[in-house]
Amino acid sequence: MKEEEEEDKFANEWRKAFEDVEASPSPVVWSEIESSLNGRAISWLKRRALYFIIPLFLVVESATIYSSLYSTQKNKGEGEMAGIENIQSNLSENKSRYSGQQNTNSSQSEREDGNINSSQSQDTQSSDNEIDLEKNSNSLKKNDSTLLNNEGQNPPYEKDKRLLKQSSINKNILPISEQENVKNNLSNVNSKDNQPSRIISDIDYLENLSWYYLLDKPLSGLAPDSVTVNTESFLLAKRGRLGIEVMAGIEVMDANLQNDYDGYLSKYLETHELQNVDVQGFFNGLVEREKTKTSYSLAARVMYDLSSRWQLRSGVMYHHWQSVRITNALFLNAIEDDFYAFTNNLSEGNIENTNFARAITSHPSYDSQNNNRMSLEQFNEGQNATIQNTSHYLKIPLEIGYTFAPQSRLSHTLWLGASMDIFLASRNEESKITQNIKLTAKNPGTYRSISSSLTLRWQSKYQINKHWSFFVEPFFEKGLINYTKSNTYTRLRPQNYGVGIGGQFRF
Amino acid sequence: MQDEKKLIAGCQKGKRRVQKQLYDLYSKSMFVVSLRYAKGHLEAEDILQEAFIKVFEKINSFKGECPLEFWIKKIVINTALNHERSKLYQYPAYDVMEMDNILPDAEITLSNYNFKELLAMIQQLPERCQVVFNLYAIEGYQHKEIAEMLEITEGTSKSQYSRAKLLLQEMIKKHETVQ
Repeated sequence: MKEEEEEDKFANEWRKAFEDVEASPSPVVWSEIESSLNGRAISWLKRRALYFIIPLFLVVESATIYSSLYSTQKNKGEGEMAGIENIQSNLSENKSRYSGQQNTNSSQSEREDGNINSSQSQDTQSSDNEIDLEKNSNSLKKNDSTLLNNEGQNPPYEKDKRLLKQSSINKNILPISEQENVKNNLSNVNSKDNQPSRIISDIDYLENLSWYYLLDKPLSGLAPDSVTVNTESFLLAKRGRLGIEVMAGIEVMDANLQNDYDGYLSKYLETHELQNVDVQGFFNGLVEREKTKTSYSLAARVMYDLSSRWQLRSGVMYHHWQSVRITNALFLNAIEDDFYAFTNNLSEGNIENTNFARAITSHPSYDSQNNNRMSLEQFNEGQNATIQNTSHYLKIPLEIGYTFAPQSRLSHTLWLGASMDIFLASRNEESKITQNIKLTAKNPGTYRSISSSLTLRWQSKYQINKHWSFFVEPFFEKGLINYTKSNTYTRLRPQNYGVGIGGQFRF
Repeated sequence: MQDEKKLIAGCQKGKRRVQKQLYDLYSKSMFVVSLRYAKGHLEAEDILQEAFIKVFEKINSFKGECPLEFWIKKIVINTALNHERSKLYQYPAYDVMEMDNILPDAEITLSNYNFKELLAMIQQLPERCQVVFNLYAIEGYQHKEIAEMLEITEGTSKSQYSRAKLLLQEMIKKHETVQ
């Protein structure tokens, strides 16, 4: 049997026929190899980077959430948490009360310097407003009693305010020495129970102070012992429920374009009365690939705080998407010797186009009297085209977000929602092609539809001051339902992922 | 030989320019190999692309035990087989005896045919026949080796080859009749 095999002249003939034969592949092959090798080099780096970044991210995230929860619980347990809302309420009451007193006792409203005198402050605790302020004072004492002014002298009050402002501008936090100043001032106020104007100033001072505290040291140092905790409403009141933000993103879009070639072809042949053409399995040899390209997005959004943790957000997002499709769904019109691409042509509007009908009837193997079984390979001459698509989309999202550690300067929000996607325009361009291939529709209307997407976003936000924050936002969007027109043989279910950076302004 | 060593060394260092040189040197002959296993140009290019990516990834493991061209060709063939593997199992294997009975024993000559015509004939063969024919007739593998490579029996390999031979002979006859 082996001898028979060795003596197989038939095989030898074929072997000889293929000796030293060469054929040139398309230049696309090398560029694909090159980009693949480059991509692999990048993805190798990415993979390794991810090994570090993901655990690091998880650790930082867990630490932030844990510290936030822990500090809240600890403060509750020790009775040190302040009812800032109650303080505010009390302060407001005091403010109005003292405003009244100020009118009647204007002669006593001048500011007086004074030393800290704890015995004096003990004597004045009978007044309601003084109790509140004293509690604040006591809390401050708890925080850092060692930082008392060595000389027992208070710096001038206006200077305190200036220092506070300057400090907040410089560092956006209140230096610890300021706590003592506040304490001294408050004690001093309590000791001078006939100084309503001073108290009003202190109230303003305290309000400002509490805000700056909340940014970095939420509630600590301002905690009356006996008041209920309600930080959320305070935060909301302070930072404003309404905000706007802008974001620019870089993303990768996978178009997931699904062409119903068979459905289109059946309808096409019926329209052109080519019933003697059997197209069963016509597209069996179809080879199509889609490659993603870097795309861009811009967003302008408005958000509203439902509570300190829950938020709603909406706005507009513009996406500039790019993708590349390599396809052999082409046909040669032998009469004109022109190649056409099926893609972009798959719509009812283009069904009257006679290009493919002429290609069939002019094909050498076409027999008008008999049944013709045809396949793509008979028309595409082994050619393929690389077609670049650019699409412009507008998305209108509605998202709900949950914020982790809302009182922290660095907060994280998970956004989940859906968007309505509105097609604006699309354009196809031929790039690397092996032969001149005509694209019958450069501006395909086949994508024209209103669809919807699921959106998932993670926003890590850093609060610069009361109004401004900046954020980084990785996101993922997936096409859900495509309300495509009934006369279209194309379905587009894009999915895109990327990262955006932007700024937020709170009113 | 010296140039080949330089090429290998450059590729092992990941130098893109040298990789391109290696590709330019062997891509044309390897494309013919891909074309024989594929059903069309596009598929052949896919195989070639995938194979060369493997070549560049695995070039560090090339020890020079065989000529570089042979090593690359083996990768191209393996890539083509992997590419085709899923398709192969869709086609039933024919019984050896059945095929032996219908195998004609005619002598042919292919010198009148150009490469494209022969390639078109091979590409028209059913997938399994095409692969076995390529491996046996052109690559020179024995049926036993083919059976191991494709995870089929030796008898199946023989029957597939016989079927390919028959189909090709028919195509040649038809071609000659037309001319």
